[in-house]
Amino acid sequence: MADRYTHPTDEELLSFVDGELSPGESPAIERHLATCWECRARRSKLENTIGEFLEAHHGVLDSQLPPAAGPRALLKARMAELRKTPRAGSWRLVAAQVFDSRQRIYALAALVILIVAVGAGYRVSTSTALDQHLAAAPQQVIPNARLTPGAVRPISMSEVCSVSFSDDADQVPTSLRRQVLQEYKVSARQAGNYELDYLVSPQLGGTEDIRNLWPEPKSTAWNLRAKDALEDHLHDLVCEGKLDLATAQRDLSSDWITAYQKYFHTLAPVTPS
Amino acid sequence: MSSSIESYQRLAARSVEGEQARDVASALEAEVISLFDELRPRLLRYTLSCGLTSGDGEEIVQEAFIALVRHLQLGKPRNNLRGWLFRVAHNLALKRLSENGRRREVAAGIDEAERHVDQNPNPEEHATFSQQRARLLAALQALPDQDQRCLRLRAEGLRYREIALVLGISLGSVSASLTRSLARLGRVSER
Repeated sequence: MADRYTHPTDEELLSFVDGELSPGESPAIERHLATCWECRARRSKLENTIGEFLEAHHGVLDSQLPPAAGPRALLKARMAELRKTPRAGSWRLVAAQVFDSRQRIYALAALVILIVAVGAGYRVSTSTALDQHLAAAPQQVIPNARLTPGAVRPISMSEVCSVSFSDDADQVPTSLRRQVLQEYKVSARQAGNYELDYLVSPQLGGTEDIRNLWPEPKSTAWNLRAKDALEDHLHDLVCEGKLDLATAQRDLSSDWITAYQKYFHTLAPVTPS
Repeated sequence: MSSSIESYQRLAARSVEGEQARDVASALEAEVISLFDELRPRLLRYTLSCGLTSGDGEEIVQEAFIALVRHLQLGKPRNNLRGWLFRVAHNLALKRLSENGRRREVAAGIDEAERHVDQNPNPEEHATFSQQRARLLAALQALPDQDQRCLRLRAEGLRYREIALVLGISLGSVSASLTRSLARLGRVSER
């Protein structure tokens, strides 16, 4: 490899000292440094600045760090609590256990806001969008907003992101299932063409409530699998701090197909129908 | 007789499964705790440098680790958990900041820096040292938010590609940002 006579740029030099250059690029700079006093002086000045910055960074911030023992014990306790809760059991059972825990305050604080937000959200957005969708889809791809406005319970972020709730509406008691089918005028003979689904999924705070359940037709591409994919995606966004829980709930309860199109940037469902 | 043997075998199998599940759970918890020990100070420093109080920062670090437990339980990708944790903490920190609607001035640290010079025995050196650090902190504060974050994340040991992942910018932007910031800080410390 030919020796390099031009000096490396500041960016190349920094990438070199940071070990960020490709193995092909590094040796040339290394050889150049061996021969060039000027660049060696640049490098040592760079390292000095880094040292001064680090000193300031730690000097200001380290004194503000509380001791680790308390937070460490808290994390252990919370993991032990999580371990006790069944991973995919009935959400009611899980919720009962979690609500005994120390997150109660969080949950209560979120309660009023969520109920108001979801309530207001669906009322505003459903009237027009829903009518259009119902006109396009004679079956209840989007639930009837009057019958199924969506219902949520108080839930903290840590609960949403640490407890696995079952989103499988198969576990809904038969009597409730029957009521839901009845209000949607689905006869026993037709029932096989539908799957009962939560409008706002339990993992995002939805409840097992007649207002949050509707028979979702199996025959279209906008089916349970598509909706599950959306719910999982929203859940990830919420837990990565990219989306508000209240927004996720509102998007699901107002018009989940529009939400799907918005979040997956596609007009038709990408999951196999 | 045979049915009781079968049911015993079923029971035994179930208890083995239970034990295995417990082993998996405790291995996961041990892994999370060891990551916590290693990364908590770094994550916390980063959230503080974003302008959060230590109380808020601590809460966010807890939430990030609980999210990690869930991430691991669901068998999601485990390559680069450090970058993943920083990304989650970064997003939560920004959210908390906008909720708080205020930014604590990071260079409340200037006073802090002056307190720290006490270890230095020579009063003249004291003054120079503290002035220099105050100048450096002022220059640091004057950098655009994104440039400050790049520097802080690098100071916490992140590789360029991890910083790019956390901040959602390109690799080239990371290296350009660090070069620019260090050049500026370098000019200040020269004076």
